[in-house]
Amino acid sequence: MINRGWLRQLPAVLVAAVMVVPLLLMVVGSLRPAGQPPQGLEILPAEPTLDAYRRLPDFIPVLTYLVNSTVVATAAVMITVLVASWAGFGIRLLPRQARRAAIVVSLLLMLVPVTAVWTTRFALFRSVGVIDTWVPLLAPALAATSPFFVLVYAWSFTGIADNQLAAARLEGASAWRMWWALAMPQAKPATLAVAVLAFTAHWANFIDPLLYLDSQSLYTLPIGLRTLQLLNPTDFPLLLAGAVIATLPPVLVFLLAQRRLLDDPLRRLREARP
Amino acid sequence: MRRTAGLLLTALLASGCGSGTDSPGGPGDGGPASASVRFLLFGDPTETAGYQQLAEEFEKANDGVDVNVTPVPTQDDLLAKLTTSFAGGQPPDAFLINYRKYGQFAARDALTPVQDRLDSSDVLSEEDFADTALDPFRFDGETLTCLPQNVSSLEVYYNVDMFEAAGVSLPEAGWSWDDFLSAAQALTKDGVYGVGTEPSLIRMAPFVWSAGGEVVDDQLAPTKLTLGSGAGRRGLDFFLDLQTEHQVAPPEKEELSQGSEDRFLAGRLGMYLDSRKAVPSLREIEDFTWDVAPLPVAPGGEPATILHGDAYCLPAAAANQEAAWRFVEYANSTKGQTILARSGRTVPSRLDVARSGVFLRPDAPPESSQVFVDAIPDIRAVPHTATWSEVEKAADDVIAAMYYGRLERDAGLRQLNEVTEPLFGSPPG
Repeated sequence: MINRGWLRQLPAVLVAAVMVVPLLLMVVGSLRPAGQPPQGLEILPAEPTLDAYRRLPDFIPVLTYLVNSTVVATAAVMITVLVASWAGFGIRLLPRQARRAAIVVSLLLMLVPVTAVWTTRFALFRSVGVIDTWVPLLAPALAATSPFFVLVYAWSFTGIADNQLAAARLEGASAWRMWWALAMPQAKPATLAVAVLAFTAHWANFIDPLLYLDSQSLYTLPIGLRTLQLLNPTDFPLLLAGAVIATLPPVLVFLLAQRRLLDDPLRRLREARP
Repeated sequence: MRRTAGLLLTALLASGCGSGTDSPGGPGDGGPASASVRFLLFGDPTETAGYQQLAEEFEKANDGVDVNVTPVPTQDDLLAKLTTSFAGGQPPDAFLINYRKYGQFAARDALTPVQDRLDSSDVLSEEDFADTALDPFRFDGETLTCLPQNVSSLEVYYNVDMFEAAGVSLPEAGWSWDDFLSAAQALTKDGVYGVGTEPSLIRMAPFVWSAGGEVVDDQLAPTKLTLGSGAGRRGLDFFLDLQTEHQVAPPEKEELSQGSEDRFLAGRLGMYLDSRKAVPSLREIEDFTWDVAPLPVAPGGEPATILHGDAYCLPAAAANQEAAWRFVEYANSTKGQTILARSGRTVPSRLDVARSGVFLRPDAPPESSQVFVDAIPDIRAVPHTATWSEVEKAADDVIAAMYYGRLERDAGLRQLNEVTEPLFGSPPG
């Protein structure tokens, strides 16, 4: 008889296989020699070469952009996790009625289109003199990057029982202490989700650096990547090499994060299954 | 997106946020004598590298002036950044923009016309530049608003080897639509198409003009498109028939799977219509010889082509107008334009540089760059009003539908007017 565990994983394997095809094409395409007219699909180029990676710095300062993106995204993730969990825990501490109102407001905020705030943000950043610095790129993190992240925490903290909170209060724990010692340890999957999503959001952020930065030395990778799209069709391997470089960090972040944060809770969940 | 930004711009300018005499708040290190010019442009890395070099040469010649070149990738990105920074009260000190896009800024008096500075310049004079490049940048029809950098135009790139293999005589100046069509028909076989073009208003316009028609009813204050009426109808029909009737151009599915430029590069397209900007890409071709020819002329018509030109504009709210002008002045001196001409990408707007060896005789194809210089008197332009880019966008969708046979021609013409007419009316700011 067929192993049922394997069967259960089959859909996941299939989905993963479909998802991995574009990634594979990206890597393969980046190994093609530049200067040839683009061709259809191929499994492996006739003469695989790392030439595109070598030539990349001739077109964009890829190392500078990579460092800039890493610094900005790392700082933004830390700020986002802090602020989102604070806000989420704050919502958890509210009385039921107020909690519902806070959640509705957060949902409404998610509906505001980003384009609507470009100009006001620009005017604001200009008035405090931070245009052409990284402050505008980090500012959204001060507002938890997205109301969604606040909601993830708020939802996750609903798992904390009321009497647990009451007991902690009786012991004289402050809100900060409850957040750190009680809430955060129970919300590791939420932290993982928020951190990974916030990282990809900031990593892929194109519009903020476009609008608020003027100096090329401060640019981040998405601008570089978009610039590579404009190269001649014959230079396609360069674009794909840039894409590979831009994709690696989020993949690494995810692999590391899931190992550190997801391991325990998931195993416990699995074992708890009847 | 652009629309939203435009509305925001209107709102903020109206509420007086554009005063902007205060200094920019970037991380500056300048002492009182130094000035910094923030110059915004879009383009691919090799193109913007040319401007970086220009800025460095300028800095060498001008002590204490710093040029901060801000390259953004695409034209849409440029417009997003421009509208946001204008509305936010801190526009760049100078920027480069196409004549079909600057109207939205000029209409709101957000630009300082360069006319006075040009008139009093010791370095430049108006006669240095091609008239056909200057005129579209006279926003009110008289005063020069922005200073043109180039005077590129739509021409025909063709695969010389393919022509010879098919026994078709090579295009010559003054060749007719019939010559063009029969060449395209002779080349279309075995999965190869004779001609490829983007189905858009600016590609179609020269055919309409050549046939004696007009694109709009009034160049400076247009109220409707006139592509399909009068003598112009012949041009519109000829352009659309290339695909729908004669099938010498790739149908939609083929175009989507491989764009005309890629197809030409791969040696599977005989003729490709584009401006000078295609040249750096085409120079990568190693497998065959290619060259450039003028657009064909309508039977009994006039030669006509369309401007592809950008200019330097100076925002009225810029912090360093004097230094910005000095940079623009330098960029458009013989020396400055020579630096940029080396890329081969632009047709210099200065006639002396356009006629010089730097442009005409580099060690790279096309052989017949003279075609671009000879075309200068025949260059015409679409309007440059505040809402023109909106009109064009709406028209392009309909033209593409007609070109690929998704939309019957008379219905398409009606729809063309229906979708564009309201856009002409919307008043600026």
